[in-house]
Amino acid sequence: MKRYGMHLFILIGLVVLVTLPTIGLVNYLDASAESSATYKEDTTVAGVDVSGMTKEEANVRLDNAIKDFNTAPFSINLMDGTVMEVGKEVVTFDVSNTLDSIKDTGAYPLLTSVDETKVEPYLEGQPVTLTMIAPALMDAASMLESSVTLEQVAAENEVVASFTVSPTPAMQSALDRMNGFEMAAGDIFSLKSFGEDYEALTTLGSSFYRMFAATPFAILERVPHETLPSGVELGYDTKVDERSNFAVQNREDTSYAILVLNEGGSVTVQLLGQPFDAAFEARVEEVKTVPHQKVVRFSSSLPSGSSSVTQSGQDGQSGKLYRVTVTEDGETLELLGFDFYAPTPEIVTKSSVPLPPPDPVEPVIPTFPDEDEEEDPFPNDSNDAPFEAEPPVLEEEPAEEEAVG
Amino acid sequence: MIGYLILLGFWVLATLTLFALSVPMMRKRETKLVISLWTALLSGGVYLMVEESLVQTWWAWMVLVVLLIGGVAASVFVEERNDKTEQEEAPQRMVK
Repeated sequence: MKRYGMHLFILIGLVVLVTLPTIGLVNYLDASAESSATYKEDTTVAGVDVSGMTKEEANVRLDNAIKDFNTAPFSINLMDGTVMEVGKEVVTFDVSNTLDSIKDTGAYPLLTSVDETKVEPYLEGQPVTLTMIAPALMDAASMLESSVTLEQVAAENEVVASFTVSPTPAMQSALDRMNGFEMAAGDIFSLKSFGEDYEALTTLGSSFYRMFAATPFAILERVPHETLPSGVELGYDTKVDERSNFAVQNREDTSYAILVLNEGGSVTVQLLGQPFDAAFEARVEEVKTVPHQKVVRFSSSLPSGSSSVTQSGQDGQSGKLYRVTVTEDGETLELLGFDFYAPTPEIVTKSSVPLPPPDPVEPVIPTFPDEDEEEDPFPNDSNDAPFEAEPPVLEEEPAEEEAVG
Repeated sequence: MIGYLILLGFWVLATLTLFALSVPMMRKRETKLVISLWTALLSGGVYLMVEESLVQTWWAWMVLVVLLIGGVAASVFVEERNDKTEQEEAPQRMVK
């Protein structure tokens, strides 16, 4: 057993004596080789020339370039011509890995990452989305450029549908929330998720329904009112309340974004994305008017012979909203909704009290003046107050009356 | 690759040292040869582990331990084999 221990000790000792110096020497050689290696001619990193520099020298050079770069914010030229600024704190650089990745002559970008949570505050109220601006920021930062232009994004995406409204404060709040909302393939746009003011959402719902009706998006939920609200065109009525919502789903292969552009007192809502394969149009057809009926009711509370209109009548109407898809082969219609608003009958209340019978007409007897004088016993009395005349007074005084019994 | 050449150089030095020194309980040259070869095998394994970043894997350490035990067993076996032969031959001479 002692022999086993001795052999084990010797074997482990020899392995350690051979291995440790080897590993140490190899690491030392690698480190010295790296520190002494210089980059080849015409080698640039983010536009900074590092030719002939060691890694340490290039590191210092790039750090200084990044410090200069961070002195001014990003200047981003938006598609609508406006310029917005984004602070440089949203990007971080990996200089070490960038320098390690350089193997040959060439122009190398800096390895850059964008912190999206830091970018989001800059996008509030701006007509751009995170996915539009983040790649552009990364590309610009990787070359240490502070100026960003979103023209390329605009060339790929275009406004495929839009509408303009004059919003109330509640509507404006909901629109601000949905600004920049992105719908990837299969995503659902739910109007209720952007606010709690159902009246404002209902007003917006009709406009959104009109916009999405002219797109290939699937209308998942749309509930009309019982009566067509004023100011809403037949076919586009949409109600949002506790139990009803307006929701659509993006069934395209690409993502689309909602942009809200404030233009003075009005707001333009745009659906931004890749153009559709076909042209889409919303069309209301088969509009019909349903005449109202007249209902007569009888009431004993009304004076005899009178009548009144208890409820004014209103004609009903119906219409079908179609999505028209225009292709080279022609038009195809897709029924999106059939709205029917029942007519309101006119209610007339008449008195149920029968008319009183007409007074009998006494025959007129012709009279003569002489006969009147003879027959009239009180010629000086008035006929209008016959009972007001004093009764006749007796001349004789009445005898005293005695009590009887 | 340079690392394996350095490893070979240190192994040669270690082998020469082993043969030059008088090691207790290791009298045979065959035993030292076995130890030397096993040292080369284990050292190459350890260096390979470091180079290929296999230090964190349990099975690599398992292989090294098995090799280590095998090397010790082989060297002891070689060392004791000749001793038994001598012990068997000695009594025969005593009988004569």
